[in-house]
Amino acid sequence: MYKVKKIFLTCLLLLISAVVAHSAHAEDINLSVAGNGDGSDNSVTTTAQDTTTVTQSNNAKVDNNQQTTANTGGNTASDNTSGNGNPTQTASAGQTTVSTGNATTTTTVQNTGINTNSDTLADCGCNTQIAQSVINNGSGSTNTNTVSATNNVVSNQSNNANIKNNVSVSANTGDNSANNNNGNTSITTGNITAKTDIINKDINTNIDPVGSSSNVTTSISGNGANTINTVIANIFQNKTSNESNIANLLSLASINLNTGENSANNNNGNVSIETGEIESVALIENEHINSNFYEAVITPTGETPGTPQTPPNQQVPPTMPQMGGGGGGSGTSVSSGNGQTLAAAIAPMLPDTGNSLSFLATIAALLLFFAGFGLRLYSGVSPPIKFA
Amino acid sequence: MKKFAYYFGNALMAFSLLILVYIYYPVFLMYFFPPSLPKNMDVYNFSLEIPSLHIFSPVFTGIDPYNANVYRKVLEKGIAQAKGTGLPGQGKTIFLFAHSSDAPWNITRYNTIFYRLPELKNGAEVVIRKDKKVYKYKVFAERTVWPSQIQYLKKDSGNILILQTCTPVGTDWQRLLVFARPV
Repeated sequence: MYKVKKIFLTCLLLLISAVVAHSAHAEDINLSVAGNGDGSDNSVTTTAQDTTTVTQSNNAKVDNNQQTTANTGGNTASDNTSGNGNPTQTASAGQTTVSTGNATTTTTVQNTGINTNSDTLADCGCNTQIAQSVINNGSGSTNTNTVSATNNVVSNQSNNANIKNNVSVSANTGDNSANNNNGNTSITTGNITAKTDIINKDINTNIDPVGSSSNVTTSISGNGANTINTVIANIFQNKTSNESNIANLLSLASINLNTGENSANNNNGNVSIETGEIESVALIENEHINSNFYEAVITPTGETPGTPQTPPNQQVPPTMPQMGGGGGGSGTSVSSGNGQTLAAAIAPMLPDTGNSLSFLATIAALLLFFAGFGLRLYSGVSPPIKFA
Repeated sequence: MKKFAYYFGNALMAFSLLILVYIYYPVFLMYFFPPSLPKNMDVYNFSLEIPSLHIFSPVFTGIDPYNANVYRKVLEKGIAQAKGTGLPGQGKTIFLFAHSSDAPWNITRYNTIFYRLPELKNGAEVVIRKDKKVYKYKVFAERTVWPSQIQYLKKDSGNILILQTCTPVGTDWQRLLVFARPV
């Protein structure tokens, strides 16, 4: 066996530049410095760049029309001189009574989770697998394996939502008539309770976590004695996110509640009309409209990516909320229908830090002043001051 | 009869003028003879000062803004800090509210402390003193809202100061919100 002299070979430099841009998945990179002779000096350097573009787009058009009706009114008990057997109209001798039941409506229109884009690693196939090895090289050799890989991910996410909610609530316990009865007549209408909710939640959401990653495996084995083996991996990750959300939200609530509009005419006797109370709460709420969630990219030092975070809070100038429009605000409105009194509106209010008494007292004082002035004019007596 | 009308008319006019003086005398004093500031500005543990309006008042913390029985008693003595909102130095929204008007027989130095709040313009200075620390703010916006628009009370908008009172002055129809950011 001949003793192999040390042969200093010139570096075998393989420079591969591959710039690959495609919308499919990233390619794998396998580089190896293997089987070189004793005392050789070997180096492999690879530069790779990969660009992946992910485009997600949603369009949604939602049209909700909801009509709720409750009616216990509209009854007639007229021209009676005694009872007529109708269960809502009773009459003893000389007594006609119309009594309507309570009406309760609960209406809810809810749109949740419309238009969600989620750009995950598994979906985009943006991972790059890199395998570097320095194996089976002769003794005394110097072997260097260098990879520079750049992953570019461009994520385009857009949502467009047009949501229209049209709610009509109608409840009536009134509109009763009891006319031309011989005797006492009474009409008692029931209470009305109406609860109306229109909720738009989680509309137009983009979830855009870590754009890409590279997995590197290295192997140095089977090399002879006194070898110097080096594996270098430079990984660069660039992420560009383009997010767009457009939401047009229109929520209309028409609430018509009536316990009144009763008539009792031309009755021969005492007449009594008692109308029920009305309690109505309407809530139109827009929550989490046009949200973008992203995840910070951590350089591959063995740390795991963080959990999804919302963009930092912007200190936006306070604005008046738009009822039924786009945006992330919420609103509460209370409506009342016809009837005797409006029961507790229930909705919390900003603290009451004023008092109308001073204003009313000023008005009263001015009225008194003008009344006194009028009396002076009426008296016809000249004022003490004479004008030249 | 005409003689009676003459004297009665005079009496009515005089009486009405007396009522107007009774109502607006404290307001007259507020504008032309504003109360002087105490020598020791740390006399209260938590106080608010608006130099341009000669306002200086103690602030009471942790007041439930939805319970009138609670906050009305506090507002007779000064300004209330809404429970659940921030305090100076915490980096959260601070919500303070006080009367702009009250019943004529109730108007005192402290319970209509925000009577002149509508006069505050952008750039005006507001000074808060708490625990012997001074926090200065500058007004940057104002809004007139309905009482039901409580999102300004519920939502934390970062390190800003909101002053609230009723408007127009002498009524409780709407709410005036003045926004200031720290300088």
